[in-house]
Amino acid sequence: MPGEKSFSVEGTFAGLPLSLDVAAPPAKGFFDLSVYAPAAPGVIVALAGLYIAHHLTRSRERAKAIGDVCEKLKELTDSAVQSAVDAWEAPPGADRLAKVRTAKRLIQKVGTSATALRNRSGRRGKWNSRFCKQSEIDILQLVSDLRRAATADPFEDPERDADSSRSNNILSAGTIIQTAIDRQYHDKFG
Amino acid sequence: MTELRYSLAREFARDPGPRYKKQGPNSGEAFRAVLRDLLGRGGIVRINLDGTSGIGSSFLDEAFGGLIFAEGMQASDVLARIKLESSDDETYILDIMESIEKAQKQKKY
Repeated sequence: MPGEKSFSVEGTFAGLPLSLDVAAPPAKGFFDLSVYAPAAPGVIVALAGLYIAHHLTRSRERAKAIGDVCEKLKELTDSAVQSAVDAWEAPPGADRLAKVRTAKRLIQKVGTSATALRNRSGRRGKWNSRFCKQSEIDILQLVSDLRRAATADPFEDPERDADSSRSNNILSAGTIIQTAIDRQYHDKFG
Repeated sequence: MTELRYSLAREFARDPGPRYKKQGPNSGEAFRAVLRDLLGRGGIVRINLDGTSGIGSSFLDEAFGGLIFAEGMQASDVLARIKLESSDDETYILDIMESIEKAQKQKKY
């Protein structure tokens, strides 16, 4: 405690009073970091825990969102494949022209969704997008293969006969897309 | 070097058609004539493929591959002069590249 206290000692200085002044410790202000130093490790650990929890939640939400897009893309591929098969098997006439247009439109929707999925599933940030291309879900080449299988000559020739011989190739191209989506999704998110 | 911009959907057709003119309107053959005209003006031609209702592979093959197998251009010239944009569906660019490569290979042999 600060203040003044007197007491006696033995020997040469026996009988002489000895005074000791105990100075008060310097007052610590609000901005003095040493006040908080003992709590720092705890705060750091808590912040790290919050960051990790936030990061894991965000990763789970992202995986789920991309999983939903993958499922929709697989359904869309089914529709496009079926539509192309229908168009090939339709007899000549106005009805077939409508089916041909529907098939082309649905294949384009598959391509649009596949492009969006690739862009969305890639790593974020300039560094990551430059060096981590393998982490994208990229089925663009397979969609191009589907378009070639589905709309190759003489798909749009108004005079061609109904043709069911192309169905297997188109169905196969669709299955390859769906398998690739599943495989790449599981490679990425486990 | 000058650069011409051309939108397939706005300036040619929103619904591109079959391969040949005789098969129907908005054909790849007709679009190839447009491309030939655009290339004849010199410089780079930037083609935007967005905004259509869907394009068949035979249309793309006749329009772009046709520059090589029907118009006698070299694939390297086509690739240097024509720039493709398709931000909605990038698979069209893959289709066109494949058509150009295939046409060039067939020209060699």
